[in-house]
Amino acid sequence: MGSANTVENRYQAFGLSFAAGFASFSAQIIYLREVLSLLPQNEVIISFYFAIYLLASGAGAYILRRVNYRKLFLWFTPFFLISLLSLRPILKWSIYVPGQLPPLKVYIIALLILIPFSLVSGGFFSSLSDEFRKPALVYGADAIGSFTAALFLYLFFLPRFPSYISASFATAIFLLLMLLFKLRTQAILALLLAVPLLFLERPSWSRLFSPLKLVEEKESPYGKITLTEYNGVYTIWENGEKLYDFPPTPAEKLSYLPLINGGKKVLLIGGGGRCLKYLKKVKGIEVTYVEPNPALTEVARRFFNMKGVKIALTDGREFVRKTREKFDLAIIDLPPPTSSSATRFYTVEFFSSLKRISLRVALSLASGNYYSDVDSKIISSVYYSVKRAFPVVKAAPGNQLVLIGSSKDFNLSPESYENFLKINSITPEIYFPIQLSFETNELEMEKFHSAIVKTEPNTDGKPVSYVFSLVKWIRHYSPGFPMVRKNFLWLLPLAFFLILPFFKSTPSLSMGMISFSAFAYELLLLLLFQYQRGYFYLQVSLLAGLVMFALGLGSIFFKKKYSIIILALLPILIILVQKPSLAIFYTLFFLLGFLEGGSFGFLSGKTKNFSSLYFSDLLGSSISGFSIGLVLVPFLGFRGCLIGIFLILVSAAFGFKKMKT
Amino acid sequence: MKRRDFIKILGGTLVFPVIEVPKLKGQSPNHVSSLSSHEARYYKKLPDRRIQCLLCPRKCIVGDKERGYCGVRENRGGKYISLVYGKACSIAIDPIEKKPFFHFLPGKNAFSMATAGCNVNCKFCQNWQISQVRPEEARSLNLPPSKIASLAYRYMAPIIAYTYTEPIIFVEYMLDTAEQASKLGIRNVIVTGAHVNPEPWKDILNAMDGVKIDLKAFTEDFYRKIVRGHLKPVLNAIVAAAKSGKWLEIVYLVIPTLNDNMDDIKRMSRWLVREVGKDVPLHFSRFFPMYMLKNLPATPVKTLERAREIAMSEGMKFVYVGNVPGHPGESTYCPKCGKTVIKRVGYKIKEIHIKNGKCEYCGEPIPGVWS
Repeated sequence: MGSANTVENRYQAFGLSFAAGFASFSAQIIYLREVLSLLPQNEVIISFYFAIYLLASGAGAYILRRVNYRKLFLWFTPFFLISLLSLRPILKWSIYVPGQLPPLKVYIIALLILIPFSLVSGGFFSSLSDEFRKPALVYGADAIGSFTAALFLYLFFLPRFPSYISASFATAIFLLLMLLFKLRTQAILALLLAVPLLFLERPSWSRLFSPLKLVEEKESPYGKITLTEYNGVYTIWENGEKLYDFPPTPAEKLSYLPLINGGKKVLLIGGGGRCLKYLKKVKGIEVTYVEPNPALTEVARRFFNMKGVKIALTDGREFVRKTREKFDLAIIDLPPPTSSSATRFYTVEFFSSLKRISLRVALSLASGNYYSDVDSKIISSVYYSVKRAFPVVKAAPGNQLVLIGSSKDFNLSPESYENFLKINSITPEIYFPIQLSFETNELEMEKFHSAIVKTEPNTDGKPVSYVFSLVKWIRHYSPGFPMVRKNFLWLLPLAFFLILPFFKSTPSLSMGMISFSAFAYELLLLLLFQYQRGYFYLQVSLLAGLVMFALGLGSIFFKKKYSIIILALLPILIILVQKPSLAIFYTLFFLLGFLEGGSFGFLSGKTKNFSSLYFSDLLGSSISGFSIGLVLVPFLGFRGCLIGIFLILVSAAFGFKKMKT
Repeated sequence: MKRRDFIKILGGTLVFPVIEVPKLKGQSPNHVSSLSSHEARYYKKLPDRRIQCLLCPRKCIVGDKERGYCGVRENRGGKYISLVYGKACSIAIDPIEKKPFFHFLPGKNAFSMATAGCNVNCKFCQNWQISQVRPEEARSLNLPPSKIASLAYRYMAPIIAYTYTEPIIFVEYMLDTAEQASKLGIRNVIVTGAHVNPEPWKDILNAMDGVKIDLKAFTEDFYRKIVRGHLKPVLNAIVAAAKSGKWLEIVYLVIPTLNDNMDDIKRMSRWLVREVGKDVPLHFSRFFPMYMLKNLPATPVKTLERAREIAMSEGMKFVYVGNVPGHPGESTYCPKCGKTVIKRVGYKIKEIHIKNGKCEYCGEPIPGVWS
């Protein structure tokens, strides 16, 4: 074990903690973005990712507390880069072709291989605290280092550069900081590893998509966009998930059926513009095209004639919220609600805002000859969500199920479709009236109606369609995955923390409760951000960095007993605000970190066992991470979770009261 | 922090939640929970209550209370049971062109049916939600063979198609239904991957009027990796179908990057010409991303056109491009005069110029079942 004498002065300790914070935070965010850009349906693993990172950091703080910090600085860079570089080969090894939904084991491996560098990240903190014996200063410097990293990443690296190049730059800054504090060997090793990384990005990404030819890769606020080509067919990918082909698959059914009862002004959301080709054939049509990710619009321009089409380069949801234009029809041509960024276009809230500007809405869902139980639930939740805003909902089943919602009754018969085609002198490429008559015959409609089962609608606060989609894939790919049909075991973490203070009140346990609640709250805010805005991919570093920074500030400047009371009020605040603006989001993230840091600072003055307090902090957050994303939000919803958090914090405040000031 | 504190915190707070699947309410009124206990055919008894299934080339040896690879045939005390007999999980009325049959009663409707289960695991399966599950996981209808036949009759479908999943695995149900249907004058067709043993295949051919076989690739490697089956038994089944005199059509789904090698397509075309003759219709179908291959692009139309050219240059007379509505390769051309004898756009028949099985323009016989 070292002593205060082994570190030359406070300045050096502060600087080293700053460097450690910078490196740990950069690694955490770059690796997370790599996971997000590779693994489809990835939002659900955000909470698991943080849970494992925090758990491993906590363990590292304990296990490596007596290891000299010089060794940790030496280990960090290779550990992080090995984890980062392993991810793509693991994915390529486990699947046949890029973008294929990987089996659950890949998600688990991706999360487990972050453990080595997470351990070292935690080790930094306890080792430096041990050396310097000023944990609050180390904590604060670490937080400031993290926030600096967040700003660097957000402002300079992440919007422009992919993972390997960002990692290379971040490592370069880290090595400069190490040189400043005379860690030469560590800096040389970092240099040797960072330089080759610059040249590996393109070949590695290209290999991932082989035998498809990589045409372009670019970062966008919503995710990593990749364009590939194979025998003249171009494919666009976003975050490891295939979006569209060019030439596209026909979209006549979705384009024509909603228009057979008339309508000229059409708002088209998504699809890479594939409906444009068909909509343009309708006489007198006016189309406004919005893509949830504006970067895709740029790509779509290469393939479609956009002449005469109004293009809105903004997020689809934002457009609908702000526009004053009125439309006869809104067509949603987006992937099904299998990710949180897609599910936000299938919620009651979104359909309600659409109703303000459009008379009808049309969307399509994948379907087939058979509706499984889970498919029925997915379709039903979307069906009821549309119905909340548009009372009349009609369906044209088939491989592509089209749902049309309207305020008034309308006709969806093969005859009226035939008439529509005649009036507009359109000869369909694929979707003839005979097809519609097959799809809407007595037998098919009976099957469809029996598939519409009683279920909750999909909402921003409770994205049930998204949950059902996940259940569908997990069930199929991992039939042995533990699933309990009906029990309340998932309420145990909440119940546990609620009753704890009545039996025992120690700083560590109080810290565990606070960190559980605060991290649950942070995750809820992140998910809410994703459901409402969708560009978490861009902002993750800033949002997480803001929390880290505020944590540091709070732990130094706000060591107040009543910090927990104000913290307890935050969940109520978000229930009242509901749709925060960007500035309010930032404020909430800051307040959350500041008040949690204040509680931490207060509790650290109540114990000599500092590593125990720190470990409780991370462990509480980790439990929160495991339970919030996949369990608590889907079943309690946002509001239920926020009320649960409020109760736990009130309970923790009760524990505070019992502690001597 | 002491070790005891560490363990205390870990043990005291690490309560992992258990993931709950939402209760699936509002089951379909037609949902059935029971499985059939109809005795299966094509198996032999082994010692210790084990049996060997002889239906498909896997020849599963199945212990008591175990099931074969397909998941729908179970050994109960040494007796082999078909769990899906009379349990259709999907029924629909489709145009016969959807199967696709292009030379079999064009323009007619086919009452289509399937049960859960399959004896292979194609990664591109269109119907994976019923083919890749066990029967108790699928929502099924209680529809005995006579009921299927009467439903087809009620919906005025002159054909029953055993399709969607792999009909081989519900062979008992299929054969009994075909018998009932024949009594009502309804024809029977099978849409199959033909991963089957010769004896049951012979019985199936006897019961059918038309056979459509999916030749999924022409390499053993593809069958092993992507289908989890073998090529040889499929080729044998194709030859047997051709020799049976029943109407046969072949479909080759062209999947980008996986089975679109033109040398393989050339070898396959030569083999078909040699083994089954030039008159068997061959369909090169366009792949749309499905199931585990949702990530691949749809097949470029150029690839299909190239495959068609190759097959025709090898001598095949009726080669089609499938799943590209409006493509000229969807229509049937007289091999002698070159005129369009059936003009198709998607599933729609726009014109037919075949009379008494012959080209209306030049009298050349066009093979098929036309009435």
